Amino acid sequence: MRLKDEQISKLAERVLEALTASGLITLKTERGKILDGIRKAVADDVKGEEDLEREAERLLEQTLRSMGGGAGIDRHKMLKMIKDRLAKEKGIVL
Amino acid sequence: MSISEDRISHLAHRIYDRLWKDDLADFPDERQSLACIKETITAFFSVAEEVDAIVRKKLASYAQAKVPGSREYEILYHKFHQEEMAKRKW
Repeated sequence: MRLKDEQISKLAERVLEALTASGLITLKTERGKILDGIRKAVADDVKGEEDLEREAERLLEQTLRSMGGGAGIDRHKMLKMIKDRLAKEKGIVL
Repeated sequence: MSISEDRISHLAHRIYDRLWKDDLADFPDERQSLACIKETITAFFSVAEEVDAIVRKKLASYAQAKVPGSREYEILYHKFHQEEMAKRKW
């Protein structure tokens, strides 16, 4: 899941609008700070996944090198396997 | 841009926890508030996925198809993506 800052901001606005319209939130500070809080929550999570992806790619390259290049290996499938394993180890939800 | 149900639920909890723990907001009904956040995230990704497919198809149909990953492709992708999202009022 890749989200640009602009998309994160849009999502934050929609979440706040939906909660407000349904009367499911009581704001304890100004709207801007609430939006910041939502944006940070999403951005931190997205960053966690991006870091995981980078680590998985690094491990994949390392593994392929140790296999002499890994000809015939399904790179995409292997990357997914590594990513899933890392996510499980680190308790990250993908 | 696909996203699993688990990830949607996880994101909803992250948002809820951030607002609540940082004392930015109160929620009269935790279950309903979380459901509302989940619905919004689901709708967002549903529209984003639909728009992504439309924009990619549009770019591929160009007489001089742009190369995915090139700067020109990215600029046009962004432009068309914004237009399609605006059409859907997102």
